[in-house]
Amino acid sequence: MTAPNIVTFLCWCSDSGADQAGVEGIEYPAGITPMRIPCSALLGTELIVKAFERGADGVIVSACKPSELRREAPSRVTEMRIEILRRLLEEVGIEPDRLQIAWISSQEGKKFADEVSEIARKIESLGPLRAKGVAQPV
Amino acid sequence: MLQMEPEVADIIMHDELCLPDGLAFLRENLGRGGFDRAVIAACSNSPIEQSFKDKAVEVGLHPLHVEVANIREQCANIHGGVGQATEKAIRIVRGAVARVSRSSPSATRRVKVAKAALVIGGGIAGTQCALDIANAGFKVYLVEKQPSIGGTMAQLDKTFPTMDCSICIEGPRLSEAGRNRNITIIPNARVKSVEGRAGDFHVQVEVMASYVDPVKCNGCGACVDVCPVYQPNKYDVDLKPIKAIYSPFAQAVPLKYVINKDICIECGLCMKACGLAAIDLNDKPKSSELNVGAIVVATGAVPFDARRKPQYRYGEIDDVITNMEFERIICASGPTGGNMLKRNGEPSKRVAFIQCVGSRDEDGMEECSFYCCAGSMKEARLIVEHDPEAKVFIFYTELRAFGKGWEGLYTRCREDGIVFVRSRPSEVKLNPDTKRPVVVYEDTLSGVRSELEVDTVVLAVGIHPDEETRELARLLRIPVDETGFLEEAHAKMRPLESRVDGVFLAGTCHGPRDIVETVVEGTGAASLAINILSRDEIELPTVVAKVSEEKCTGCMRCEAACQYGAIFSQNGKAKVDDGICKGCGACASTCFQGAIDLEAWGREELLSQVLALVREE
Repeated sequence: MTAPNIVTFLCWCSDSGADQAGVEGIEYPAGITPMRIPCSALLGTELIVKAFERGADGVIVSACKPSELRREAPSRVTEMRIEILRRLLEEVGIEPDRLQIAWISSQEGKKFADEVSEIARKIESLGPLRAKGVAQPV
Repeated sequence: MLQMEPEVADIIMHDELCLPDGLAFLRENLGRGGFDRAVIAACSNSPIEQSFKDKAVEVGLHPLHVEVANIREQCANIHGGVGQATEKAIRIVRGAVARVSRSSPSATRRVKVAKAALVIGGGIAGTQCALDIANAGFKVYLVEKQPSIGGTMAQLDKTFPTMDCSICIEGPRLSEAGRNRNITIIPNARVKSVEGRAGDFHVQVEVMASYVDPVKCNGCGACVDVCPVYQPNKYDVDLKPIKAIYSPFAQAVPLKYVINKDICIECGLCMKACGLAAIDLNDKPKSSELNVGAIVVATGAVPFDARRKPQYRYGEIDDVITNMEFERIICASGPTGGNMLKRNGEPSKRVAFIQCVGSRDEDGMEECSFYCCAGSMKEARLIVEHDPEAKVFIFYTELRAFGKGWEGLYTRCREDGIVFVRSRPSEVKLNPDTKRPVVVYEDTLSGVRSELEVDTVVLAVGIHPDEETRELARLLRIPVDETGFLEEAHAKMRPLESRVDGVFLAGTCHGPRDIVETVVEGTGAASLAINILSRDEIELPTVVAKVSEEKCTGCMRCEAACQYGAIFSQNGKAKVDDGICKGCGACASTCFQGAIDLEAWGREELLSQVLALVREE
């Protein structure tokens, strides 16, 4: 069985967090495939569904935790959207655990490595998504 | 394997691109043609990405056509097995190639900078700010709603902790602003609309009718002498009368008279008295348009309305007054000539201060109002300075003396015999026999409940934002916090910036402050404004949301998704204010019609990158 391919969207801050893990040399599974985006709020339903459809075994959205005191927090949009999407995935027969949010700030290298490792372990235990006959390879 | 990608024109290898040799190599190779986009597979994006992009721009490439694929920190550093690291690196680079080859960002746009600033509000924050900008060589419009600049500081008797006479230290700054050739003071005026962006704002200002031509009036005051109508003077918190034609205080800048038309009986005596024919009772409001590169909001705040705390009987008991009324009473130019008197004219020998009225309070404002502890200590000392036999009590919640020199002020109060009582009094009542106010309180240090009869109770009220600030915030598209104070772009790292580029904040419009901090902020905001004004052109941010008018149905779901308030409806379509847009893309991902895309991160670009990442060989 090949390692699961997990598309990991990194917002600008989380991207530095992931870099920090690299600087400290903290190992995590190679199936974590990073993609930097300006902000997690940019991720629409369509994009995440397409990722599953075309072969991702899991999707992680790594974002800044919305601040308690600040009103302006685009990742609040992300949080809501991912929650809805997880329920939708369940409706169509995809385990919601294949889609996860990790709240990672730019200093949290160890936290990033730990959380994505844990998520990867879970997704690996669910097996490849394609085996379930849901995803259509290109 | 990457050579197999149809988009890849060439692969060039170098060991140390980030060193000077490498950067020269990069510049040379980026400039040699045969391709119009570049992906640089290297290490961590942040520190060196900009140097790579600078090289690309130098040879004529668009900065968004250059993408750095991070295959070190996020790949090589963490994956032990060479095989799996290589495989992952290929996917990462392939993803970057897929996106950058489909991206077609607009050309970078520049705005010519209007070399002038608008400062809204002529209190000490706005005046200091205007002076600093003007002294750096730029034109400043200082818009003030009152007939004179000066603000709250001009009303204070003394300032803490140094006990300087307030108008004596502010007055020279006001006249300096009045004399400065670069500063145009526009009194009796309000901002009516704001359009444009950092570097190029267009602002409509409405100037109220003052009925006196400011060009002709020389401030001689002959009109005031003959005017038969009196009104309460707001500057003296309505405690002292002034004529219907007036200037609020002796040190007013500009020293030009205005008429309160609400009470003027149009007798025409002032017109006869004025040797310069400056008075025109048919004066109308005027509107003027200003073109400025930067805006500083310094509109200040207003005192909390003490009537909202009915237990203290302000407005019912004559000798319950506010701290601002106290400032005027104790001031030599005030209604009592500086004598601490009761409302009936007898001397006030026993005074109690009640702290935290309308601050640190769920019914008023949750926040501490910052200046009132030191303010009341200063006022207490003024009483004993004027009358060494007077007895002063301060009822405090916690005594906060955190500023420079404030602790010394507290020590001097103790030496002066001022009594500090740790208590938030439950009420003030009237002794019907003596007609004196009685403070009902529990001393929370001893647990003893007691009453204290005094001559005067001074309520140390906090400050609040006023409705006009809220309205101005709406015009400028900047948010207000729960209390109504203006909100900063970032509370810690961008404390003097609003979320709108080119609009800065100074003084109490964004929270309670003392004079020192207000002056500091005036200078700080000035330096931010000068940052813009000193440039000839500014580059507009490129990664912003773009609306396709064709596809937009005007449903405005994007407006609700935008956390920055950058989207509004115009002619039935969504419109993005790119001076506010932070390029997060929450709108794009919310739009059902696919009518909004983030520049360089559009649907197609994102999707092609994702597909490249998950593609199986």
